[in-house]
Amino acid sequence: MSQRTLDRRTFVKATGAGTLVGLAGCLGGSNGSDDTDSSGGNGSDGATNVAIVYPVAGLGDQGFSDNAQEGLMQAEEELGISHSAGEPDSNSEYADFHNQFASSQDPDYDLIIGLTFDQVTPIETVSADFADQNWTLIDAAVEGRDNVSNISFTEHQGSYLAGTLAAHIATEGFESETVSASGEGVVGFVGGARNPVIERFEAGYEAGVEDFDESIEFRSAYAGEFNAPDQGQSIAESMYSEGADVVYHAAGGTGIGMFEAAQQAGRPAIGVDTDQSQTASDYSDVIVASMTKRMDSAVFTTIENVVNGDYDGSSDVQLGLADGAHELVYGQEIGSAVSDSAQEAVTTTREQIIDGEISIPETVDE
Amino acid sequence: MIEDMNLTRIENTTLTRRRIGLLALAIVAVVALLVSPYRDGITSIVNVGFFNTALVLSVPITLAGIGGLYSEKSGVINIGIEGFLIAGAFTSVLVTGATAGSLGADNAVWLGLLAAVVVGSVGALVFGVVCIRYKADQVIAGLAVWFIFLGLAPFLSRVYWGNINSPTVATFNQVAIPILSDIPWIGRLLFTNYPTTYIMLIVVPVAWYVLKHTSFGMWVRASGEHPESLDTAGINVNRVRYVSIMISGALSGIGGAALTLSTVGQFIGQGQTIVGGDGFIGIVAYLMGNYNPLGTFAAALLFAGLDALQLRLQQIGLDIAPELFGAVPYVAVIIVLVLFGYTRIPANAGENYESGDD
Repeated sequence: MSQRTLDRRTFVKATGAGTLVGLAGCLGGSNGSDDTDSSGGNGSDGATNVAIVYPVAGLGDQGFSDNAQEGLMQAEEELGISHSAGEPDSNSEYADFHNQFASSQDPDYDLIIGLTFDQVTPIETVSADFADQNWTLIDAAVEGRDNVSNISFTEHQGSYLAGTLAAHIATEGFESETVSASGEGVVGFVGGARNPVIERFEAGYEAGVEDFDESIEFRSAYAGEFNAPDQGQSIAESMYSEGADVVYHAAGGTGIGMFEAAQQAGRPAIGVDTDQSQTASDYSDVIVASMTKRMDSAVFTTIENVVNGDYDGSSDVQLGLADGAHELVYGQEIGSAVSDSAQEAVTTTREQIIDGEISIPETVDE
Repeated sequence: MIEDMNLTRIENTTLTRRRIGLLALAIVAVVALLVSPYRDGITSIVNVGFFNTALVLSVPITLAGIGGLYSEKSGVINIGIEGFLIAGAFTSVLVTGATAGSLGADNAVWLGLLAAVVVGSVGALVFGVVCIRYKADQVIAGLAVWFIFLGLAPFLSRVYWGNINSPTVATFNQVAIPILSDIPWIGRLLFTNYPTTYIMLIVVPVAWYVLKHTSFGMWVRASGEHPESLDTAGINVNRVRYVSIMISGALSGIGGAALTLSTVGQFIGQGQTIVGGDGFIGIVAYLMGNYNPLGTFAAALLFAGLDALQLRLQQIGLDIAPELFGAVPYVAVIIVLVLFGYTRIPANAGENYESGDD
């Protein structure tokens, strides 16, 4: 018995030590990237300092985060700001990064940008302690703070257009040199983690499909994570193998798996956030269109506001189709194969949405 | 003696009763699903595609599990296989990405797989030296292996690609085996698949045969059960253990490469990396399979099947939290270990062996 107790104690010790090593690794990594990121602009005195905290799914997703980084780079080039970035490894690290940036004196950050729904609570907590620090939360909203401005999107509107296109493909079929769909009347949706933002994608997309033709079968599944391409692939594989003509994703890095499945099935897929036929160019042969969500312009605009002294900490902006924040862009390689009738339908639907003629649900009804 | 026998008999009756109970529960659950309104949906999602997904998802679990099984059978508990999976996943993407330009995608993926095997074996050798030569506690050293690769792989990917996630590299294509792939159902399932899946399908029976029917297999078992007798027979116990540990590293390397090169060709460094606990499920699989490679494969297939099922149940509107399915392997192993207790850990697993010779 005493032997066993001892073993357990050593086990706990080892786990503790291991965790410390792991933590040290994280800190080392992020500090490293801070240094390289901020060194660019430190030379110019009085430059605006911006910190950004990426979501866990992070850079390299060939979509969301990479697009946000582009906005940051644009701001560096055009506005001469310097910037630091935090790349957390898990949801529990968000608050640490915000705290660290908010309490930093050298440099003193003029703005901290948080991204996604997962950072609502961390920013809510930290922003209460640093009343002088300005935040912008993009893609979600923190209520009742005058030092946190919010920028969100109307993903359901943009996704409705993706739904319109998908419905056309599912009824008319689709032919290009690389992919073909026979018009089985089945469409699919791959979600990352289930949250209100991703559900807006799904709800809008589903409405777009159903408003066109109620008989189309709608399949949807969530991988539970934004960084699980293997899961995304098996979800999409199952959809394609059960007749899906086209699948759309709102799953960040998980969605890359959907493209892989599309390539193997030889069917079209719809990308998200950026024109993925360019950003995920390995898969441009299956990407019929992408529903863009201009993270880059959201990041750039909020930084521009700070630089120009127009920052308003209580503002709550929602960007939509009318602002050009969402757009359905056809793929570079196979987008031209989309039928004229589908393209026309997308164009007219877009105008109808902007004119407020179509009401689109923001939540998925179970 | 008679008392002993009675005790065994009583134990056996209880065990049998518990097994029957579990079987009955499983039958009730299946019947309940089949009479539920979801019946049509469920029968429609359990098709070739479902079994194919389960088979592909089971590859890293099975390979890591069989590797861990060899190591533990030889007397060295290797809970670091999760770490070796990470090493394999990372290395395969790194090498494939770096060589695709000069060698062409088709050769680069094989080189990536080979590199994953080499890194897995060498890493396992180092782990073996730490455990055998320097007599480190195997569980602690195994944990260290996991933590080291959990930190090192994302760190190196940040250094090499400037990002915690790698870009996508070339991947294996599914290969249809001529003639055999034309068999209905089986052909699609077993003979139109990734090279790594074929490797697993070969490794499983070979590992079973080697362990049960060859002298090397006997040495491995003896080394974990009764090293003294092996030593007496003139076989170097520690050499057998080194080889077994390296087998576990090599198989985990293939498993890790299967996770990246047979999917999208990307290494994900966030959180628990792209491996996300497959190594631990592998350990669970060989425990449930009672150190039998065939049983390990069956258990891995079961866990992978549940995962594949979860992704499909959502599509027919039966939305069960994925986290709940994720917990199934761990709950299952506790039930198996506690209620059935047929899993027998090798007598000398975790014990260092010192030959009286030197």
